[in-house]
Amino acid sequence: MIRYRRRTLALELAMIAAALVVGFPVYVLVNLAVRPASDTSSPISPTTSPTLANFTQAWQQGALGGALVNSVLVTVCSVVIVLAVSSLAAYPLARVAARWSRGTYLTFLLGLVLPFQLAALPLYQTMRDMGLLGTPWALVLFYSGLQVPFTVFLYVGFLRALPRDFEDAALIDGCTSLQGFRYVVLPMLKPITVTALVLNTVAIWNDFFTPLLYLSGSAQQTMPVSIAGFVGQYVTDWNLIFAALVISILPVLLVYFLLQRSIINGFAGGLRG
Amino acid sequence: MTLAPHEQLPDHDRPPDAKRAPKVRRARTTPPWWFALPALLLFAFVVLVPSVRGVYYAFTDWDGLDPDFSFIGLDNFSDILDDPDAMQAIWHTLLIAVSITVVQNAVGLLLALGVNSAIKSRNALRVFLFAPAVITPIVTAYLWRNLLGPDGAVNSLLGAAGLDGWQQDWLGSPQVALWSVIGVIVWQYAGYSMVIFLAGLQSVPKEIHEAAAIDGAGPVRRFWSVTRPLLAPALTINLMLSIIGGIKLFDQVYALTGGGPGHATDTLSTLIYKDAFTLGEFGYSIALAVVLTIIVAVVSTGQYLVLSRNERAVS
Amino acid sequence: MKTRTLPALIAAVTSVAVLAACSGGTRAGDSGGGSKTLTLASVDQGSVEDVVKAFEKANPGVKVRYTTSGADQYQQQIRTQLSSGTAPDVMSVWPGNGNPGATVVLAKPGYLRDLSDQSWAAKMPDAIKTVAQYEGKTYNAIFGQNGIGAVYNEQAMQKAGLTAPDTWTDLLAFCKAAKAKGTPAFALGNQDNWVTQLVLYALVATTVYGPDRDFDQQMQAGQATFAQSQWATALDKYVTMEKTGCFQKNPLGTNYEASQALAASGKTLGIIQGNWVIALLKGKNPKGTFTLKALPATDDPSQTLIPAAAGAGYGVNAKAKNKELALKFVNFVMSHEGMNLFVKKQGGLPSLPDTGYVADPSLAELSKFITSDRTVPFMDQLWPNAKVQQTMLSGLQEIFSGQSTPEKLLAEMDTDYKSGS
Repeated sequence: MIRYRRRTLALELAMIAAALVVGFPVYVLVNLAVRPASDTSSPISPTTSPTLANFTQAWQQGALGGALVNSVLVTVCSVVIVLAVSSLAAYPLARVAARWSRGTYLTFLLGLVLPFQLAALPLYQTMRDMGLLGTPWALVLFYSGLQVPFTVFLYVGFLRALPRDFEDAALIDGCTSLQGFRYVVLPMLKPITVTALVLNTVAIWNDFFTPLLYLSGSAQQTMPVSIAGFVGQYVTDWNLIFAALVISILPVLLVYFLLQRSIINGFAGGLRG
Repeated sequence: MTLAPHEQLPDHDRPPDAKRAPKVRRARTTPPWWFALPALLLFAFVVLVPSVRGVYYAFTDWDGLDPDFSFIGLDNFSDILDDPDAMQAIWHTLLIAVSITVVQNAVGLLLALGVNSAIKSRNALRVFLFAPAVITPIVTAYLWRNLLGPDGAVNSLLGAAGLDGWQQDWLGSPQVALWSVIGVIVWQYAGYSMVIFLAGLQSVPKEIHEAAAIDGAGPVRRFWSVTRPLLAPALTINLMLSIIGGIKLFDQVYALTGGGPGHATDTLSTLIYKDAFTLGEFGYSIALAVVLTIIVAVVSTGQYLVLSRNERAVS
Repeated sequence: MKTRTLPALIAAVTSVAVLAACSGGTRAGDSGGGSKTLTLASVDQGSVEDVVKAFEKANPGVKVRYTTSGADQYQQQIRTQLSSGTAPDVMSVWPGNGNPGATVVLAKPGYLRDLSDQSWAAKMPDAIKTVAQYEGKTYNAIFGQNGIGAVYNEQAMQKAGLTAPDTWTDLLAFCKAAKAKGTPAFALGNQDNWVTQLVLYALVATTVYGPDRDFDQQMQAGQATFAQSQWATALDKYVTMEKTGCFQKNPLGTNYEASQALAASGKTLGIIQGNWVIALLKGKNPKGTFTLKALPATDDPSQTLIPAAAGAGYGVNAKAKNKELALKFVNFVMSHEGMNLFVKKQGGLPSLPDTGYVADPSLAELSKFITSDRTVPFMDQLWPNAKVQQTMLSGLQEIFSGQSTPEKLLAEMDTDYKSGS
């Protein structure tokens, strides 16, 4: 084991200093969010009489409750679908060396390259024809497809690094392919699933321009859209805006804190290929 | 709950050569092709087909509104070559992508080495340093727009530290604005790179390090000859993600500067947006999006080829 | 804790979300469809809410499903929706041309319903009518008008012991005196590019249109250019104001919000903006008194003109699902009650002369200029395409940052103007 030496202490201090630099904007964010509008002192000096009034006001005036529900619904449904179809797809793509398998994998990777601007209008019109505009289901469908390439990419990398012995054993035991996937492969994918879960949650929760378009004209909004509208309406009231910003990022932060230990494991598994 | 992440690694983890070892004939599982079908259908429906349909507009003069428009062949593409704004935006896009890739990964790697050491705060720091990556990009932009104002927190902090000479008009000066944008991105995503590097570092067996230390290799030497080769896969992923993300970057630039002052921070993505919806040149903006696609494809493929050759070379 | 918490957590969250979504879905279902429902998209954040409420009250049983958004986002949405046939019954439409959501732009492909047969259409003053019409037909229910001028913070002016200038020479002296007292004359939020044009418009009104009210006709006929006109003088004066220190430090790093904070708190003596800023300044500083005055550009006060023009109004979707209700809403907006409610909330002036509206004293000078025909429309409303204005906005930012020159900008604007619609 590497011992804790003087040099380690120096490193510790340097890392804490780096963390302070990273944390500074967050400090200002929270500092202003708990400050009454009448307090006009410098944004870096600590607030003398902190208040939670901004949070309740932002919550009510921004109607953030409804947006929160929509965001949770869209994110949870999309993430579940993406993880299910991507892990299933990754299994043959990682295990079969045939030409169709390579071709399909490369097709998925193409999805990482395409900018969203190309598909935006045709997809909008398809959603219109399906009668999904203005409903959260348009978003669920959209993200379920959009996030597939990145998720397949993560799963394939991880699977390729896993030994095949267990699957082979399962086959000998008389499992069908689907059972083999369900009872043998899927449990082994747990580390990368957690990683994919967090990264997809972050990407979907934070998306701004898609819901802006697909939900426009309806009272349904997601968190980032409500926040943008809120910023537009309370332009100079930074304390209120910052309180709304804090509310908007809390749910994702919560998911992240709950799962953070497993994220690194997932990546680590994928990197041993 | 006090286990360090690497101690929780699944126990079926073996050295990579284990899977190739036995060459005896035995039953092989071949998962059926249709496992890929649901994902492929969703992906084709949402991304592939609409993208191909969207490309059609690049060859028209559609304004995005009038149902009456015509096919004009490659005119939009030749117009791009004559458009100084587009050329400047392509340059900015590449500059941003390369700078982000270099700086974000350098910072990420240093942070990863730091939190992979014996320091006591390593677990707390791993959590904390990744946290900015989960914040909504437009929220980040609103926050920094305030922090980087002439009387914002950054200048206040510099003033309080006696560094008045360092105070800048961070988003208002064309020479500085682009770098401010890059700085914000690095702030947000350095932790993301860190986590991927950290995962790579943790796949380096501790024993090798200790053996090298006993042999008298210093930390720099150990990093170069032991850690670096094993980081190659992490580096590949990190570089891919940051360069693709950098080229396609939109939300933050749009909400931070809107491409200004003037065109000083305009990227291909912001230009595509403006041309489509502010100037009513939808066809032209899609042509720009096609150019963007080509740039991302060329850069990421080239990078992948170089890196995978590298990876093979070091391993 | 490790293995069981996660699935349990996901299950719990999912069921809560699905439950909430279902109840949310029913709510949306109730308000969707039916002859009593009107759909509306608006950019009038903060004022349309009250008008909708009054409209619903005046028409019991009617439900307005409306959304509000900022101009940028609105333009993207409305264009996508119109071209896909999903636009709402009533929508915000900007006056004239030269903007992706303007009357001419939307009426030309036939997306707007002709409103010429409505009773208010004939009553519009000429200046408003020209920008509400396309090929002689009225498409835009324009309810308010706005002016651009210098809005002074009276308390700050008293403290500095200065009075509002009414000649160009006085203006520069005023700027120097204000700067010497440590409170610059005007706040300028040029980081938001639309703000850059306001000072220029205020100067162009007097310098270009003062001697020549027909400048736009000459431009349209190709007999005049930006570069060879008084526009060059106006732009020079803008640059002179910046060099004289009329504005606070770093206008390009200051956004619209920050510029309001400066003027509201008296860190500058005022701000050159549209009258809509007054309500926002009062929000920031409820005890303050703010007055709008014309910005002088020559040494003859009687020559001074104010840029004043129609604000965004409402158009009816040619394919509105509920035409009858759509017309009813637009007519309500143009009624004395609706119009006065709107302009009161927005801090503007009504577009029709006889609504009995009592203007806020802060707008006395603007009212006076309008009634004595000393106003000219915002310049971009008569330009042939949106590009001229966009070129001007980013060009002005470039001039402020030393990347461009007035000559270069005006030449580029001429090129864009000539490229037509």
